[in-house]
Amino acid sequence: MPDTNIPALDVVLHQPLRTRIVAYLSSRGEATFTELKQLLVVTDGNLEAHIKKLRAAEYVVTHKVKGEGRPQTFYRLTELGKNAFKQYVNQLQSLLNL
Amino acid sequence: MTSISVSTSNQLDAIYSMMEDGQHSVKMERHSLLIWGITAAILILITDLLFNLNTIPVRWQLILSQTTFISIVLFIAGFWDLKLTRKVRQQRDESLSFIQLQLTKVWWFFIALIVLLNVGMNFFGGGYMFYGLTIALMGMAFYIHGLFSTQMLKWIGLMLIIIGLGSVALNLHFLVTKWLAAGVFGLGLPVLAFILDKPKTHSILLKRLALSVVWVVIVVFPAVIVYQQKLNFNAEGLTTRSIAEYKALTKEQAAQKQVIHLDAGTEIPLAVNVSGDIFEISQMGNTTVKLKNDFDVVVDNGKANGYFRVPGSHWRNRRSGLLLRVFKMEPAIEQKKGATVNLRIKMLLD
Repeated sequence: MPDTNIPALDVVLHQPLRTRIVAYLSSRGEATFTELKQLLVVTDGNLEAHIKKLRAAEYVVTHKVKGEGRPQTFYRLTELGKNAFKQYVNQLQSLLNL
Repeated sequence: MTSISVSTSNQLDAIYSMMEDGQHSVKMERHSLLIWGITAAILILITDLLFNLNTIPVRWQLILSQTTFISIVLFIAGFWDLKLTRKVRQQRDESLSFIQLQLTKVWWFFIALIVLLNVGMNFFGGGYMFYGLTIALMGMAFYIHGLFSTQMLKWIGLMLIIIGLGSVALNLHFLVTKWLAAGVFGLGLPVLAFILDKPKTHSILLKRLALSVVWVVIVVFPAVIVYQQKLNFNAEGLTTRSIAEYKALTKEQAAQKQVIHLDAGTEIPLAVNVSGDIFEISQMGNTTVKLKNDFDVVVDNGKANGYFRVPGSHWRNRRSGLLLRVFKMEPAIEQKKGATVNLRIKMLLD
């Protein structure tokens, strides 16, 4: 019989790389693809795949800024993403206390 | 420990680590230190030359024009810095974090505080502390940046705070603090710009301390040199004459550069001019002061050129070698004498 006290974890966030992306964006505000790639030491394809999942869940949005050079793409958390991350951290903490 | 708790604890550790990385996302660019350092040094060295009571005789106009000039120059420096920062960040495909944008505002508050301090000290005095406090305030700005950065900004901030407050506590001469500030900003910040992003050079405490000592020597050097030059006024080769001999000279002879020796006990007429909110411009006559020691004054072209000395001591300049302290200034009403103003002044060698 399953333990009903164990909360169901968010499947989008409960993946090490995505957790780290969301945690970084939550404290930094926003970051570019290059910054995330350098920080997480991952390939373009791998990072792109995870960001795609976060965007599909509407946890992350992108915005482009055109400047003198090539346009930059910035990633930041949505309100939904922030709340989901908050809930996820609370769930992890409550699991740790079990 | 269950497997789920290990995984949970790992996840939480990863989250905290990433959040810490995000919070330490402030990065000061090399060009920022160069721009602000060189601009500050130029302002320190040229502002007094451009704006003084000889060029603008009315005090409030002098302060207004000086403040406007400083503000415009600092605004241009700030704008240029921000533009360049955005450009290099874009080239590296990096963003300016939220914290960094907020800290840029804090930086500007510190700059505004220094400008206001300059205005306030021009009106209300205390100018001898200005450069020391400016160095300390910029140190605080660096330290605050350092709290959110992995660069050695906290260390830089601490060094600036120590130098700034140290110069105030040691009551260093205004001229020395001026050149110290010029050295700290004009040489110190550009030097720091080149070691800022070399973590290997400042990772070990001993290396960091050694670097700091070298840095302090570099920034203090110009102040020491300039001050020594000011002190080492050379009057060798000049003829020394008594005041009686000087009076007997022809006009051409009197125009030569020479030293006039005044004996201790010589009585010198004191011309005091009092004006302001309370008194009409009043010239006091018939007051003399008596020299406590022998005194040498350098005369050039028939006028004292500002250099003087008590024999046996070094040459001083009247602009930087004298301190005037007003110990007492009180109005009094006495039944027999009527109204009087008692003024007690002490003149000291700095």
